Amino acid sequence: MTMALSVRDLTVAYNDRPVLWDVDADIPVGCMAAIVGPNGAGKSTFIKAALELTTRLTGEVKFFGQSLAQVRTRVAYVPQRAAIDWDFPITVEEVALMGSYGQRGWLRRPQHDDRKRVAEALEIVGLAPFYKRPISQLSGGQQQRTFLARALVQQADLWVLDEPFQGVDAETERALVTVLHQLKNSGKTIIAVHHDLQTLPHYFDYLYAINARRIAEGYIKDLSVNEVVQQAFAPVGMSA
Amino acid sequence: MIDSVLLVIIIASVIIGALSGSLGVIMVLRKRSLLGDAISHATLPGVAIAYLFFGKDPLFLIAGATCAGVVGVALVVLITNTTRLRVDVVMGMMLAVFFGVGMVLLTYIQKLPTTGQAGLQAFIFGQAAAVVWQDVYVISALGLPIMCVVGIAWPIIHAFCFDHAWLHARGLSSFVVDLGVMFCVSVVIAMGLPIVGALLMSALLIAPAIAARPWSTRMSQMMIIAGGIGAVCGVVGALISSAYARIPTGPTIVFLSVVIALLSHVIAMRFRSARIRSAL
Amino acid sequence: MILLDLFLTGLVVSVACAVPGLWLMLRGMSMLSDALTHSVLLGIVLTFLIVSDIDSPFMIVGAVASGVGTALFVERLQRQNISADAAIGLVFAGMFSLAIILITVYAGDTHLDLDAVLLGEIIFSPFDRIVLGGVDIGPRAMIMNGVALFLSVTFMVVFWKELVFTTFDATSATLVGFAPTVLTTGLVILSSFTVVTAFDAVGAILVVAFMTTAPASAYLLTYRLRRMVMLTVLLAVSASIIGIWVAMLLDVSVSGTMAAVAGLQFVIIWLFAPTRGVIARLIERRGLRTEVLLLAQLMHIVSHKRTHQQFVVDGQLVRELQARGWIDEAQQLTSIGVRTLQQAGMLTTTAE
Ligand SMILES: Nc1ncnc2c1ncn2[C@@H]1O[C@H](COP(=O)(O)OP(=O)(O)O)[C@@H](O)[C@H]1O
Ligand SMILES: [Mg+2]
Repeated sequence: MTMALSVRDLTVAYNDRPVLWDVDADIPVGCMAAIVGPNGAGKSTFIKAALELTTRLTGEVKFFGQSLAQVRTRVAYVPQRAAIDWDFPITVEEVALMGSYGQRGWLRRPQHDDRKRVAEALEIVGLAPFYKRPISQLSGGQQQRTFLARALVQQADLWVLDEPFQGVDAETERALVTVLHQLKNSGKTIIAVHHDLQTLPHYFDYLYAINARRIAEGYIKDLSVNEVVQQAFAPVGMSA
Repeated sequence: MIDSVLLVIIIASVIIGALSGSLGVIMVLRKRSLLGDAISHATLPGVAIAYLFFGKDPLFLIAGATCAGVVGVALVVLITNTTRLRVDVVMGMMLAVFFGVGMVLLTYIQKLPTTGQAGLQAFIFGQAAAVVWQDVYVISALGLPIMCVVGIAWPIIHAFCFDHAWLHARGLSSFVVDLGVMFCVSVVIAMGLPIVGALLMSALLIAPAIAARPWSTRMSQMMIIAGGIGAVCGVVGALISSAYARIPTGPTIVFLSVVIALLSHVIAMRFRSARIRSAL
Repeated sequence: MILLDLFLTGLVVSVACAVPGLWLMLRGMSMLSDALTHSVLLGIVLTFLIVSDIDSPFMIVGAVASGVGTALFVERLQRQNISADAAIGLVFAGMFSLAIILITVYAGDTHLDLDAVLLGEIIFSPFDRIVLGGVDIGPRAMIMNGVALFLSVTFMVVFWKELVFTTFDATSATLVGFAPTVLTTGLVILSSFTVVTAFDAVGAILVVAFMTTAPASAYLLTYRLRRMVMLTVLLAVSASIIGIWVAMLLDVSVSGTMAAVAGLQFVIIWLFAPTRGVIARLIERRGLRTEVLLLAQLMHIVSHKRTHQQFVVDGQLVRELQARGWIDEAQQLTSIGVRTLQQAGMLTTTAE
């Protein structure tokens, strides 16, 4: 079985302070994986380090058995809400169009079929009437759906989302989950940082628990979720 | 041989260096390093207006500069709170626009038949040679109360830097405290203008504090070290520029303090890595 | 003719600064524009001491090099646990003070003049002209800043997609292969170039005014990027034209007046901008307050009817309620009033 994301011995430090130690991961293709862990456990750091967005001290990361450079445009990333300047002067359509930039590369302008895909994606996430609206004038849920549309336009095989349900309304959460499930059923892989342990088994079929190290991972049906979560939320010991 | 002119310059530089060094700690700890720059540029129109109304009395010039500085800070706070603009944009804008207004007023003053060469240019670049005993009296008369205020209000200032909850618990508005602190900083900046000038005064505020950072564990300690560094830079800068006729005093003091700040961090790094190596 | 040259030069300088300034602002790098204007001076002075020709193209090379050096130095210091603003303050103060020391030390031997470099005076710019092969092609400041403007606009148009992407969402852009540092470096080089060319005309400090004020004003007026670019250019143009005109009338510093007018434009927009201006929002908030008060008064009337308690009647509010038809002459709740209260969620059961 090929792995959508496989990580070996990943260590990351911010200013001499290690945040992740020797982390491994093997997330199979076609699953919908939840990354779970307490605040400050290094979930965002894990994602960013895997995607080479922060420097890592040690470790090897493969996507679909290849290096990131070979599969760049097949990976879509939806950042944490706090990482975005929501006052930025940009419209829904322009954000969604960014999904096509990776395939186009430097200096080439988006083409007609890119715009067609944008229209389709906005239709799917229910933002078609708002396509000319600046993102600052959207609700939190609509903003999140804009980023979902961008990832749809990218037609990625691996989706990485950092806390996608943070600060969105119940309706948006349902819409997001529906779209993500459809993607999963069409063979895509989803990896999302998730906080709500209640909804965890309903939304996801794979669990990756992390707290500075890998606590456990596997299909949810094979795991005792409560035990794993308890372990992940226990204070980290400094011993090896 | 230290003559009277040089003595005046040295005394004034020491007082200014010590005052701005210690007050600068507040700015650095509150991540307001560039606000000092905004204040010092914003003082210029105040100086010009004070000159227009009261002539060249140092007390009034300092008062005018202080007022303009406080107005500048208040505008920065007001604009940042009522718009989506980031504070660095607002500060940059305020600094340059106030400076522009100051330039307009200075060119207007220079054309007045009564004034001729008013020498207000010194407030832009600083001109230590023009400092007289009267300036020293004014600087000391204002500096002493400021240090007393800092000493008396120490718990408040400490809380202002680290613990706003403490202020609220005692019913103190952090905005009012902020205004008070910025007023003191503006006074110190205004006093430094004749020596260091508006363009570089803010550096004298932050460089000693940055230099003191790696060597202090408490804020009071940091203030004393920074004040000391500022004073030493004042003396050495004044001596260097008196020894070499063409070297200007203000920029030399500032350059020294920046060099000390950089060296301090390089040395601190060495110490740290040496300690880590010996621990291994 | 000279007057026209003056206006054109002012206009070109103003717009040439505003365009890279807008992008620095959007990328959260405005502090850097402040630092660049000061530190670039050191590059100019050092190069001048080597080549002793103020019009040498090496001056620009030196200035751009020191600009890029500043950006790198600041970044290095930040890794030393010095916060960004402190690092910037430290670096530019060091470079700037050294530059001033060098200028004053060598001032007698050279044509470097502190006032001219720092304060600039655009009024003289029409007299320093570029003559190529015996043909006068225009004032140096205008040509040089025209080149800077052309480069900035070209950069913006060519890299529009990349600029927007890396500015808005640097992480995602990095991920799909657009390195933000490439564009940041491009912007720093362009800004340094612009600062050097604008120096002559407006001086180091006021460059900051032109780099920040028009973009900040435009930022308050729109949420659309293309419009923001247009407005930035427009405001830069108007500030320079009005500024020069006023300065000529009053016979005061031209560049200072241009900066002051730009600041005034900002204040006007800040206060009076439709929907987002201070005043528009105050009115909106007052409007909201009145609505709340009206509803509260209406509730008072309703509960008074139930409990027969005395309450303070605000005559003005009651008249407004009657005018809206929420209550009738006898201060009885009308059906419109009932519906209003229900819509506000203040009345759940249908009042009799
Ligand atoms: N840029 C950074 N510089 C320094 N420390 C950081 C940085 N980003 C995160 N950290 C620290 O790393 C740890 C893990 O952070 P993060 O990965 O964001 O946690 P999570 O996403 O699980 O809440 C936290 O203790 C945080 O303070
Ligand atoms: Mg996180």
